Amino acid sequence: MSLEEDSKSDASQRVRLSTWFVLTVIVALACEVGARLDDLFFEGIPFSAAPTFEGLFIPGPNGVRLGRPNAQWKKVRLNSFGFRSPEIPKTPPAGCERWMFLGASETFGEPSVANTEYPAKLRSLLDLSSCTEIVNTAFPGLGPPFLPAYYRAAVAQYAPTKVFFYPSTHLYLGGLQGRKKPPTPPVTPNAAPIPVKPAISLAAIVNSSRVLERLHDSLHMPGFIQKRRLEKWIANAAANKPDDWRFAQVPDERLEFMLEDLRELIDAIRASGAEPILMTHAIRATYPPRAEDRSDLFAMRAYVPQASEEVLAEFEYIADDKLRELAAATNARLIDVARLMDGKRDRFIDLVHFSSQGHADVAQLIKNEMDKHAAAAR
Amino acid sequence: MLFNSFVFLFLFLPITYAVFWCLKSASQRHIWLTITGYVFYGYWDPRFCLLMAFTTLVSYTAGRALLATQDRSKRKLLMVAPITVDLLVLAFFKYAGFFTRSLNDFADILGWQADLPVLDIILPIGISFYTFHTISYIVDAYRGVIKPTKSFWEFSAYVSLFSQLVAGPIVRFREIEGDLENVGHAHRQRGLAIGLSFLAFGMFEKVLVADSLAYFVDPWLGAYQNLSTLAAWIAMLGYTFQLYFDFSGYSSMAVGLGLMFGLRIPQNFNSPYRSANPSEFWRRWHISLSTVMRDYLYISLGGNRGPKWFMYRNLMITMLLGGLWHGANWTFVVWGAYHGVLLVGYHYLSERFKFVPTGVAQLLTFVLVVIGWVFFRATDMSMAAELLTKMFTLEPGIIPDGAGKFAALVIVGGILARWSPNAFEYHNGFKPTFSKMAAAAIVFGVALALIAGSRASPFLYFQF
Repeated sequence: MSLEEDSKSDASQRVRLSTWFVLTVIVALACEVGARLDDLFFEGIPFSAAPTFEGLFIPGPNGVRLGRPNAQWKKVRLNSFGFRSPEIPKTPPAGCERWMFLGASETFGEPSVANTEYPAKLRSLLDLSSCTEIVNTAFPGLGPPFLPAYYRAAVAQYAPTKVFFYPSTHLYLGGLQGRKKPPTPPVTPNAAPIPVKPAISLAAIVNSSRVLERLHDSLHMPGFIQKRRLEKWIANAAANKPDDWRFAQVPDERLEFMLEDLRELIDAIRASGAEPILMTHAIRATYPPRAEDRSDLFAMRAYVPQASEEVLAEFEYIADDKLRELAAATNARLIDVARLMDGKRDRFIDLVHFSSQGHADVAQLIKNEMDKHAAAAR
Repeated sequence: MLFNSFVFLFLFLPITYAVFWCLKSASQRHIWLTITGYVFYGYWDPRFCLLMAFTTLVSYTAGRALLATQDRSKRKLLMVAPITVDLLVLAFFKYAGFFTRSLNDFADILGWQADLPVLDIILPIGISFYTFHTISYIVDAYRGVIKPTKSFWEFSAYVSLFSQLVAGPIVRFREIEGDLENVGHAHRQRGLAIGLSFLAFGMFEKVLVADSLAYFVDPWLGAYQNLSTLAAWIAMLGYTFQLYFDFSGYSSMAVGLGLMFGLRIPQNFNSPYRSANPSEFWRRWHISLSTVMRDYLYISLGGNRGPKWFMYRNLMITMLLGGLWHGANWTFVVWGAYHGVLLVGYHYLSERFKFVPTGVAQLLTFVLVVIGWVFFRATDMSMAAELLTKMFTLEPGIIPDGAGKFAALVIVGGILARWSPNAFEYHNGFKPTFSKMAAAAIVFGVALALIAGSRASPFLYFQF
């Protein structure tokens, strides 16, 4: 090959590389623009906005966080009362029922998919003529210790006729934030809607890239890397802790805390004139755990590092029994989700969160139970 | 594994592509295509790889035997035996549950107690497609249309070719034989640009159009009992375009992927909603299936030969079986029968209605096709009946949220389906200019954003 041919081939190689580089940049830009246009068209999120998970909340009393009216994040759209539900009037129309659902992330549902959570599925199961409003008032991380205060501050004022609560019992093996709380003062309902704060600079837009957020949600580290990371994290959490920091067995006082909080919640619901309906907490594992349950139980230790996999599974098993006893003792109606769902692996995406089919099953169970009750009442 | 998934786009495809072009000989590439086909298929459920391997082995052996004998009766046996095996496998996995359920229902109607055990068998994905690949190979070999290949790897690469494995197009061996034989001399650069462009075109159809429509279609038709007449029409029009862009998108991606590996996969959709009569519709919709049904069933039944009623009977049988091929449900049988009636009606009346302007004929054909999709989409006959009642009587009901956006998407879908060029028209005389590649890059980028946003759904035709 001559020198001239060499330089020609080098030049064409450079052109080819530059073309691929420019095309890659176009793909990257189109990704971001596409994500924003998608959010704008389907979710109504402004093109330049930078919504965050934290933006869903406003501070409430005693460390309780309330939903920010009309806030949006991913596929979550809160209504003007700050709930993940369609718009509702302040009180239900005459002759209509209003069923409000309390709980944490299991009830709130997947943020990147709309209308797959069991309250939404129940809404679509109900006959149009039944005139029952379904309101999902749950939020991720809203464990039972917070529920009575949250109920009084954010839910009671909307005149529910029935309140279903799905307590995240496993959180009682964690840090128990929110248990030591002063009496709750009455709270004025949420202030005027606060619009989602728009991003004002290019740097802010880059930092709040929606496509990176989507990729973060849809791409996951391989299981073995996640496991290694979690092992390291648990080891750090356990470092310099006394010997009794780990739960050698199911801690009875935690079960007592749970019952105490739920009794308070039942009283608060009754005080507001609504009927409390308790649900047991289902998990993907069985007790004793099967071999295939181990990884799910271990992954949950990111939230409850003090509990071994065995203790966690046993705690859940005993907690459900305690919930059944509580329902009987307080004369509250019970929907036994755990009895239906425990150990059904394809109904969950991890230890505690339902798959789409799992949500559908729970919705169907609630409908069946309520239909049965209505038939018995007639 | 879905074409519109990250694991396919950023792991499977680059590795498959890079290794393929590092290999030099045709046989090495055949082996590599076979391996990758099985990885692609096994990603869904590795157990069913054995089934595909079994079907491949049976058909390959029969092909080799056909090559070795000229004896008529032996050749017939060598055609009938493997086809029977293929059809039995298909019947067991796809139709056993349906037939036992139907027999139980039928016995119930007659007041008998049949109580046959209904088997809940997992339907191996793509079984209808690769079974047709192998059957067409055996029949063509028997008829002498093709010379069966001696290379096992060439044949297994044909059956397990990932780009056409799970949802077609149904590529007949004769259509790809030349490219498979010459795969060792394929030109990488030539196929890459046009292949990527086809892939991006398919992404546009599937992810941007079909999946956007699905966002509304699925919840609307999920609660069809509540829909008003207008809402029922919007939902069905939405489904009409969703189905087309979903399957056409898959086919365009399959063509693009094939081109990237030096394999030309034929056109499967030619803007079917431009058709002016049912016969034309079937020449434009799922062309590979229509051609297979015509060549291996309709013509075998006698085709157009003989008296008119004979042709009508053959049309009805072909369309009924075509309907049943789509799924083990009476709704598909009715859908096939409906199209059979449309075709018979068209052949019977076409001479008398020649005066109808093309635009009117196109509109009428389109409406008739939309009505047919009601049976295709319905989960059972009662859903089909209720939806049709809603569409053709003024039913009270609701128009669900987002109707404006949904209607806008339906209009866009209609314009694209009717007036914009299809994948093959767009790529006719394709030259990889910067603007064309930039357009593909934009589509690719937007599609990736939507896939990352959990909006990507499986292809509708995977269920068949």
